[in-house]
Formats: sequence, structure tokens, C-alpha cells
Amino acid sequence: MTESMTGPRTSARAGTGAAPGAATLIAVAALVALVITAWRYFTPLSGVTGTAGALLTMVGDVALLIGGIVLALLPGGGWRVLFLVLAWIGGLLTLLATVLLHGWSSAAALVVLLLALLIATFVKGPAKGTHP
Amino acid sequence: MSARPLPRLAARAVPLLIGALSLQPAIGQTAPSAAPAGAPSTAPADTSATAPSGTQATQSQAPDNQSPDNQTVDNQIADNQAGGALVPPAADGVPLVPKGAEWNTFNGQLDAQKYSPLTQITPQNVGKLKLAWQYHTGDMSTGSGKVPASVWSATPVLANDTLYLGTPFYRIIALNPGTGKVKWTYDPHAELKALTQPDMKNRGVAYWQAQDPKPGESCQKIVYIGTMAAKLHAVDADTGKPCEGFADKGTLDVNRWNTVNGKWPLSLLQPPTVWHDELVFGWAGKDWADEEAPPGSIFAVNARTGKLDWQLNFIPTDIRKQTGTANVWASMSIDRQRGILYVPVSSPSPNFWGGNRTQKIPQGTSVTAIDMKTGKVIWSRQLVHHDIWDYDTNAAPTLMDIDVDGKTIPALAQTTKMGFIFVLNRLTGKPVWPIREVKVPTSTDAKGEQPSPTQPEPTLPKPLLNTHKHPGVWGLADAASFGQCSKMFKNATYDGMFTPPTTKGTGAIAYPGSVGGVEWGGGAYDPKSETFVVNSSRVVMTYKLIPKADFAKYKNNPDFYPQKGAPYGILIKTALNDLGMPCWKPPFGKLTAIDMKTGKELWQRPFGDVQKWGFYMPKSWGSPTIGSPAVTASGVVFIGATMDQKVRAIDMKSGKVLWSSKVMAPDVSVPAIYEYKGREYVAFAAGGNSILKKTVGDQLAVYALPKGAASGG
Repeated sequence: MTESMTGPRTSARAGTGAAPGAATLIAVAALVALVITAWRYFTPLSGVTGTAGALLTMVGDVALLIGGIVLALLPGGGWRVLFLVLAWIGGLLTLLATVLLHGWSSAAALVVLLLALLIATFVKGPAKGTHP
Repeated sequence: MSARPLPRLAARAVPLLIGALSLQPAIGQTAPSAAPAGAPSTAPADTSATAPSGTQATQSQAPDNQSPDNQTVDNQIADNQAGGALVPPAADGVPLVPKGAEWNTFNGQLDAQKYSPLTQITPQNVGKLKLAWQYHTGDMSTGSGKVPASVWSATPVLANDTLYLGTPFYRIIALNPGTGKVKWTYDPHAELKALTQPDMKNRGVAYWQAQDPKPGESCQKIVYIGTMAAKLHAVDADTGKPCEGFADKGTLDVNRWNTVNGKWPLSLLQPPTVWHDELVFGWAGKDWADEEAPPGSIFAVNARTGKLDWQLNFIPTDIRKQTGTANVWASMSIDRQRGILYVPVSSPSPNFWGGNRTQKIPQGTSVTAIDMKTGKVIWSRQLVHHDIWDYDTNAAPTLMDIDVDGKTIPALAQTTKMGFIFVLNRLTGKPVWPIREVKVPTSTDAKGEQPSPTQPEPTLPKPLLNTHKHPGVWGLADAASFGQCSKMFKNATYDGMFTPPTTKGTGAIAYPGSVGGVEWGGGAYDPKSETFVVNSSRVVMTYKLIPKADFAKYKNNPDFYPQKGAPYGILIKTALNDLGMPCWKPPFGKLTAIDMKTGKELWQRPFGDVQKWGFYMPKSWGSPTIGSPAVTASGVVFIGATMDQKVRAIDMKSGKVLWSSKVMAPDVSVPAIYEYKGREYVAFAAGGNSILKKTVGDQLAVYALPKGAASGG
């Protein structure tokens, strides 16, 4: 198969096929944050047991988890850009909520998530269809 | 309405008075420049080390129907009368502060210092504190069922090798202090209804023991608990069985003395204060409900039999039926050396309109000193004249011997809802530092009202909050509610703390509001460093008078209280926006340490965390607090009190938090600090209070250093 048979690279594809590992890390970090916040929500005397704030934060963690999975599957294009933007908004808001809950361990997980999101946003991985 | 003339007081020849006079030498000596209660105080600060002979004016007047078995003392202090009962002499060898570690009363000790001489836990090792044991009483209610919500403010009491608890359902539980294992329980099967209070409340139990216990006889050691239905139960401290010889087979019905305006029971939520073979107690009533209410009184009964030894009333006889309360619902303190009882007296009824009581009620909203043996008032100092803000004196004054300007003064520190701390010579009632009579607004649209033109304001210590200026509208809350806060404040009346309630607009801004300031815990005192530590809230409320004609509009409003019989009801609201955010600027609560040698502040910090929906707000905001600190000789302050359901250890020197732990509900009690089998324990009753948040609990959490980690002091 030659390069001509694969068709020209598109601008949408270029620079967005980045580090699928980063997206996976986003999902894993979100899952870790979710588990910790859920533990605090259900455990007596955690400080946030049964609170609406913890529940809302868990919703944010779930959204980030889904976002990470989607980003791992999306090769590029406008949808990926949209999900990246949503992940940034969701990630920052969920981190803020987690800090306000004094959830330091899950906040650390979310910091890792945001670093992974940084990589997913700006680091270009190998373009699809190219061969060394 | 014109003021009714105050009748001239005459000392009627009554058996009690003659009997008291025969025991008191040199009655009638003139008090040196002692200003009677209720009159402006212009006397210079008192730095005398000893009590002058003669104290503030007292006159005793018993009712016509007095019987020897039911002696009532009515105390009416004349405006300009001098002389009175002498201060009882100090008892040799009885120190003000117990030498050993005692925690056998609501305030730890009778002097209400909440001080422990224990030093095993120090600022250096307190970070290692762990939960040693916990106990759940099972007595709690969210209020969603038939039983009203519970509010548990009990101090665990250590006595007889046992830790005794009273619960909001009025049970007594006896526990092993080292393990929490139950020794026995007592259930009076009390009525669990909101008879006077909206919640099931309890502040614990009292303990008494005979000085010469008779072997083999029961009830030589007794534990007492009161109920909302005005019943005082006495049980054997070893077995939990009712003491048959106490009143009616172990139960005293205090309502038998509820003979004037007896619309509701005299609720016994605060445990009695015990001194020798005497129990003395006040009662709590139904707030803001009635113009004519039971008139304030305290009772002293024999600890073994429940027989009434004396009763003291706080409202003058001639106006007793037309008003009420001025009761003592909080704890009391006793000078063990002299047998002087100090009581915080609340405001007369109705709380927010005083047109029915324009006559002087000298002991309304006062701190009053009483001879325990006779029930006679030694002195009384009114802290709010013609109180129309519900600024009840609401905590036992803390007794202390302080060194001021080179002299040792037998003093007391009276905390208040207003955020003032009145420091007085406890033998004479004279101020240690000057108290000014400050002009306050008197303009009011309330018919018949006659606000006092002045109010007392201590110069030192400085007020715990600004009493002349409220915190101002909080921009964040205002923006979040699209201007609701600024509109609320704009439509309110405000001219300092003593702005009379009004019918106009949003009402009068009350800062601090009825929740204080300082609440019933009062403060704690370290006699070694002469440091006084106290927590205070900063809460803005509004008081709007509602004319009778408009009552129907507010019938279902939970913030409305009718003050039945009065021409106005009252709408009491905390200044929150519709999102539940405070409309005033933070901080919302602080912890303060005061050097009692100088009256100056050592440090003051925002204290506690506010939580909303689980989100913690910035630490600089602080939290309203209910409950009090306790202090140790090693310089550690232990306190719960905050909204965030945490208990903390604080460095007394710096105010820094050294340790914290989460408990089941806000701990709104006095912590207990005790030693058992060589180990120092700190016990917190985490019961909750609806003033702070709806979370309720039944947890007694007891902490200690891990075995082997104690420094040994």
C-alpha cells in the first residue's frame, strides 16, 4: 500500500491522533477520583457523608470517565475537539468541587487527569496510516 | 402607657428574714459607693482585694402565704438603698479551684472554669490523640417522626468511678470511664413531646454524694436528671434504681411550684447545681410565646429528700402576673469558699416588647449573687436594662482570682449574647474595669414601649464583636441573590446593637442576634496563666414586630412567634438570602483568648468551617458556634462547637489548631476532661443542634493518647 492509496492527510487528522495513552490515563484518573469520592459519600464521619456536593462531584467524575473513554476512541476531528473542551471545563470544575470537599486524595487524581488532558490536547501522536 | 410607680419597699417582719438576720452579723452596713442594680454605674473600677463589708442593697419580702415548709424569698432591690446581707466569709482550707482533677458538674467544677490540672496530653503530643472508645446512646431523633428532633448538649460527668450521661430522651446512662461499657441505665419513660422547646433537649445530669455515707444504705450517692415535663428524677448512683426517699418515690414534680401564669411546665433541661446537701436549679420556658408567663424563679431542695428549702423569685411581686420569665435556664456557678451562688438571669416576657413591664425589674437580664444557705440576694448587676432583644444572660459566670495592678481580686467573668464580657468583683458586684452607661436609641413605633435610654458597656475586655456597626452586606451573597441582601438591609432599621424592634420594613437589624455572641457554654479559664478562652458567633438577625391585626398573615410562617397577650408578635429571621447564604460579611465565628490580668486580647481567630451541601467554605469565614471550650494545665484548649462536626485541640498560647477529629454531629456541649487508671481522656457528646444544622447524633466520642505514647506530663 502506498501513501497515495491511503489518501492525503487531512488537517483534521493531523495533530489530533495524539497519545491514546493520555486519554486512557484521563479515564483511569477519573475512575480513581470517583471511587474515593464515592467512599467518602457513603462512609460515616467522612465529612461529606450523604451530601449533595459529594454527589455532584461524583457526577463530574463519571462524566470525566466517559469523556476519557470517548477520547481514547475518537481518532480526531471536530468531535474530539469538542470533547477535549468539555473535558477541560468538567475537569477544572470537578477539581474545584473536590477541593471544596477537602478531598485531597481525589484532588490529586484529578490533577493527574488534567496533566493527561494537557498531553491529550497538545502533544501530537503519530498520524494514522503512516509507516516508519 | 404611663409607668406604674414602683412601690416603696419595706422590710416586713417575716420568719425567714428574722431567721436570716439572726445568722448574719452587722446587717445594714452601708455599701461603699456601690451602685444598685439597674442604675447607671459611674463607680470607678474596683481593684479591691477584699470585699468591703455590706454589699448591694437587698430587701427580702416573703409572700403573705409563706409557710415554713415552702419558704419563698422575693428580692427587690431599691434604687438607692444601701446595706444588706454580708458576704459570707471564706471557708478555711477550701480553695476556689479544686486541687485534684474534677469533672463532676456541667461546667467541670463549681467555679465554672472548665479547667483540668491534667498534663498528660500536651501541645506537643496532642496530635497523636486517637479515639479510645465511643458509645451511642440510641437517643436521637431527626424530627421526621412523632418525636421532635433531638438536641444534645450534655457534659459527661465523672464521679463514683463512673461516667454519667443524660440523654435528650431523659435517660441516664452509667459507663465505665475507661472502656465505655454500660454499668446500668435508667429510663424515666418521660413524655417525648415539645412541651416548651421545639426540640428534645438535655444538658446532662448532676451528681451528689453524702459526706458521711451510711454503709449498706442505698441512695448515699445520687444521680439526678430533669425532664421537659418538670420532673426531677433521683436514682442511686451505683444501681440506677429510683431513690424512694426523694420526693415522690424518686421523682419531684417541680410544677407544684408553678403557681403564677402556669401555662406550661417548668422544663428542667439544665441539671441542678449541687452544693453540700443542696440542689439548686432553675427552669426553661416556652420562648417568645406569651406576654404573661411563669415568673422567673430558682429552687433549692434537699438533695436527699427533695424538700424545698428556699425559692427565689426574680420579678417584683406587684408586676409578677402581668409579665414573666426572667428565669434561669442556663447553668450556675458556686464560690465553694463562701457558699455564694451566681446565677445568669434571662430577660422578662414578652421578649421583644416591654410595654407591659415599664417598671424596673432589677434582676431581669442580670448576673446575681445569692447566699446559698438562705437564698438571699447579696448583689445583682443588670446587664441589659429593659431587655427587648432576648439578650438573656445565658451562661454560668466563670469564677476566678485574678491579679490586676498588683492586687488579687476575687472576680467573675460573665459572658453574654451581646458579645460583652462583664468582669466583676464577685463579692461586691463592682466592675474590675469601668463599665460605661452608653446612650442608645429610644425611638420606636411600638405603642407603649419605653426603651431604656442607656445600656451598660464594659470597657475591658473589649467586646467580642463590633456592637456599634454590623458587618455590612456581603457582596458574594448579594450577587448570588440578585440584590436580595442589599434590599433586605436597606429596608431594615439599624442604629447599633440596641435598636428597638420595629414594625417597619424588614424589621430592626439585630447584631448580634438572639443566638449570640456567646451561648450557654460560656468560656474556659486557665488559673495558671490567667487566660480566658471563649468562642463567639457573628450572626445578623432581623426582628420585626407584627401588630395583632396582622397575625393571620403569618399564621403558618415558621419564623413568627405570637407573644400571646401582647399587642405585637415577632418575626425573627436570620439574615439569609433565598440560597441560604448569610447576607452579612464573614467571619461568622471566632475563638478569642484574653489575658485576665489586663483584660486585653491575646489572640482572636476565625474558628470552625462552614459547610454547605458538603462544600467547605474558606477557613477565614469561621463558623457560628454553640458549646464551649475546656482547658488543661498543659495549655491545650479542647472544643467542639462548630458547624463542621469537628472537635479540635487548640494551642492556648497561639490559637493554632493542633488536632481535629470528625464526630457524628456538631458537639454543642462542654467537653469533659478526666483521668481514669492513669490515662487522660477527653470526651465529647456529639449530639447536634438545629441552630447550627439539622444533623443529629447520639455519639459520645472519647479520645486519649495511644497507650505508651503519653509523655507523662
